[in-house]
Amino acid sequence: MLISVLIAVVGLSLLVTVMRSGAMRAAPGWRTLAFVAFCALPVLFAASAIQANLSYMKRVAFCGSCHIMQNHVASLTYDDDEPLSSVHYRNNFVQQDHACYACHVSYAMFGGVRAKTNGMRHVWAYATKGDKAKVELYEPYDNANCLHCHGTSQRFAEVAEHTEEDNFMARVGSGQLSCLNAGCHDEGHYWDGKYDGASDDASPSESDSTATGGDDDVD
Amino acid sequence: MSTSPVRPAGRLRGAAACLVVGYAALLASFVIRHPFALTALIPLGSLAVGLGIVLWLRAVVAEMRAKGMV
Repeated sequence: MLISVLIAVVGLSLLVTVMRSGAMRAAPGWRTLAFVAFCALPVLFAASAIQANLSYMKRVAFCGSCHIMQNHVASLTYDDDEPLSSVHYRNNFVQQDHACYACHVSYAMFGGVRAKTNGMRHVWAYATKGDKAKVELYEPYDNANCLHCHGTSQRFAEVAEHTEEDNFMARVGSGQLSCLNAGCHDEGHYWDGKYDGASDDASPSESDSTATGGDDDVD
Repeated sequence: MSTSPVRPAGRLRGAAACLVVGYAALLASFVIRHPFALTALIPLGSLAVGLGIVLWLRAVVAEMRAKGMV
């Protein structure tokens, strides 16, 4: 971002210089200067600014800046081993700063583009539709996002349910069987903010503090 | 087709104005990081920069035509 700002400062200065250099237009190098001011630096600045913004959009802080996502983001830090989001976040199974992006963006070639498109659809739906209770995925969760990390891991292979059925991996790979099926890994987030910190060994005071912490921003 | 000598300068000012708007919108996107704002500012800034470059190119071509270079 700092580089983008520096490019903008240089670009704007050069633009003003070129616009005010009426008498110097015949001078050698003026055309090159005009090209840099009117074309090269603006293109460079726009590209770097878009890149900086896209990079920022991968951060959990950005996802949590939508009001409707705040419970999802808060659920990352719940001291509970049931929701997948919390397990992955607290144990650093995904990069904490990019936790949402790691699990919700397809690893395919245009995964990032599709995620941005869906994000804009969410923004539009939030602004135009009355029902703002819950954000739904536009398509079933892609098992490939889980298998990207878990598919070849020893820990995954050692789970009896993953190997007892002959064509289990084929069904998971083709999407016939979802990792998020009921009875498997069906608790992604405590999105509704109902977290009660009800682990058996937690003291009441710890539970209370964790539960109220659910409304706080992660960052 | 003849071209008025005033028009290239006007286009140049238009190009500069578009580029300034583009710079401003994209710089604002670093400060206002609300999703709604980013959804508007990034396309707006990119379009303004693109339009500025197109207008500058048109000004260059118009000036060359005025001088009989093309």
